[in-house]
Amino acid sequence: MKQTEALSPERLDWLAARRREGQRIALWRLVLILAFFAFWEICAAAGLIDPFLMSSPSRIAAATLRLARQGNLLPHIVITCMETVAGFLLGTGLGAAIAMLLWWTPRFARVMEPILVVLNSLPKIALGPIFIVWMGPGVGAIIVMGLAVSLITTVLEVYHGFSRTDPDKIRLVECMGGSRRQVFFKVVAPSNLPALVNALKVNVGLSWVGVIVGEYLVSRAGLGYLIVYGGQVFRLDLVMASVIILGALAAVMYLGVVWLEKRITAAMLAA
Amino acid sequence: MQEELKKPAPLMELKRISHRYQTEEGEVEAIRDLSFTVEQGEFVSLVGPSGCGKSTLLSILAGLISPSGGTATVGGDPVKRGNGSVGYMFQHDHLFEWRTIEQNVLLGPELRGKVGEEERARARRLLETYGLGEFRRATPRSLSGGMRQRAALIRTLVPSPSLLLLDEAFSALDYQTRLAVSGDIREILRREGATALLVTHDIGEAVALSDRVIVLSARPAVVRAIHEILPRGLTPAQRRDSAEFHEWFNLIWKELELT
Ligand SMILES: Nc1ncnc2c1ncn2[C@@H]1O[C@H](COP(=O)(O)OP(=O)(O)O)[C@@H](O)[C@H]1O
Ligand SMILES: [Mg+2]
Repeated sequence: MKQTEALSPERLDWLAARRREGQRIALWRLVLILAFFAFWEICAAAGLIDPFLMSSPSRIAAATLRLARQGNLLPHIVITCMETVAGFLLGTGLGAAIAMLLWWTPRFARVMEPILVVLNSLPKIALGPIFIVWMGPGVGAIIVMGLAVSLITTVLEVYHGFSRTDPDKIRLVECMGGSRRQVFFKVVAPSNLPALVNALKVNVGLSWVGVIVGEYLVSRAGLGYLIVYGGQVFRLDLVMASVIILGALAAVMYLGVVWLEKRITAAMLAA
Repeated sequence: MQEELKKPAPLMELKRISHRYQTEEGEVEAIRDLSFTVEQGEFVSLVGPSGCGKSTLLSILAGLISPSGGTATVGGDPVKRGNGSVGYMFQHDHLFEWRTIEQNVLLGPELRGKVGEEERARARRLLETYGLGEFRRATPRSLSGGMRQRAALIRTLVPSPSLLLLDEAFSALDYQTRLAVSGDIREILRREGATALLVTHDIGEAVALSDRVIVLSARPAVVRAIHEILPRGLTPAQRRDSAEFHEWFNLIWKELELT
């Protein structure tokens, strides 16, 4: 018999035990979530809570189906997702570009540093009405909200990464005749790719906040609009359904960025 | 006069180099009036207490900083950053993890915008000759510490510098690897006919590897002594086994203690 990777019995036991433990954790997670919804449903059915105010899982499901059948769900989902992706890509891209500018011109960086710190502590959401006045109550203003919440943190985070690049790696390139541009693109940017992807991860979450607040303010379309509208007409089923869909979408997008992170790291090592 | 004309000009010449750093806390005099030469094909070590100004000196030679006073020439020309006459090796290999070994060693030509067949062939020959041929397409991660340092050396050699600067190039390696890698690299430099200036605080390493050892004082660095280690041409291992090794070691040890 061919001897391939003979694992010891202890090793096999340990692996099996670990796999069982993983399954057990996943099961508990599922049980907890199902129990929560079941409890909610039972309380509503038994009259312990007022379904009109608290809704219930079955009413949420029914509301979601009704919306979907009327063709009133997908457009809202699409528009919110589009705004969020645009906001967070623009916020991250613009943030990284500004960080690059700061790295390039150290004097500019020294001038900007306290200003950026102050801007960062400002609640960006307060700027919403200004964007709406400037850009009109539409998708543009909402995307700018999504951008605004993530922009300054991205600048600070990415610039911090850039300025901590190993000085000997920079010396190495300079010593071989590299220009400042080459230093940036051959050393600084690639060594900070992990920091950039990490900024993406944080920014997805931030952009959801910006976009939903933007939709509250503009109130034309999107999940944020559905939530506000549902609240105004006292249809809590609609509000709850939107919130749950929102949660699911945020989770999916986060997983998407995590997947991207893995791909980038793998590509960097394979390049 | 006639005598002097016959002697070839040194490859590298430092004349009365001084350097002072200006900082918030005040002025730091790192080097004072330092003069010495390195001949073509020589391996010279600089030993001195840490913080005495050795790295500063190498930065001056690489043209990365200009000295407060004095002149430095390599091949008769004043040093200039990035003109390819000087190669620099650091304590850490600084291989880029996101590149293959071949892309790493071709960094020099790439920065000067000329990665032609000639450069590729030279890189390939060096990698083949020094046992890294099959790792051309591998990432640095898959190499051992010694192999990584060898790859870093090849990266330095590919642009054919006339002078190699090695700043504590072996001190990040563990003792056994350090002996092996330093011997290894000394051999490569001999075969390639390279000229090298090594900064180290390991006296044994300096004596084993060098044709000459220059002992520096504490900061500000001045030349305390210059020793010609004879006979030339011994391998580092033979040097370490020789009877004179410990004499040199003890002599330099005492000179460093005085500082
Ligand atoms: N960029 C710098 N600015 C100010 N002081 C420096 C700088 N680089 C080195 N020094 C100081 O100059 C002295 C010599 O440094 P260095 O050349 O690195 O010494 P060595 O390499 O011999 O250990 C030290 O006292 C160090 O603190
Ligand atoms: Mg040093």
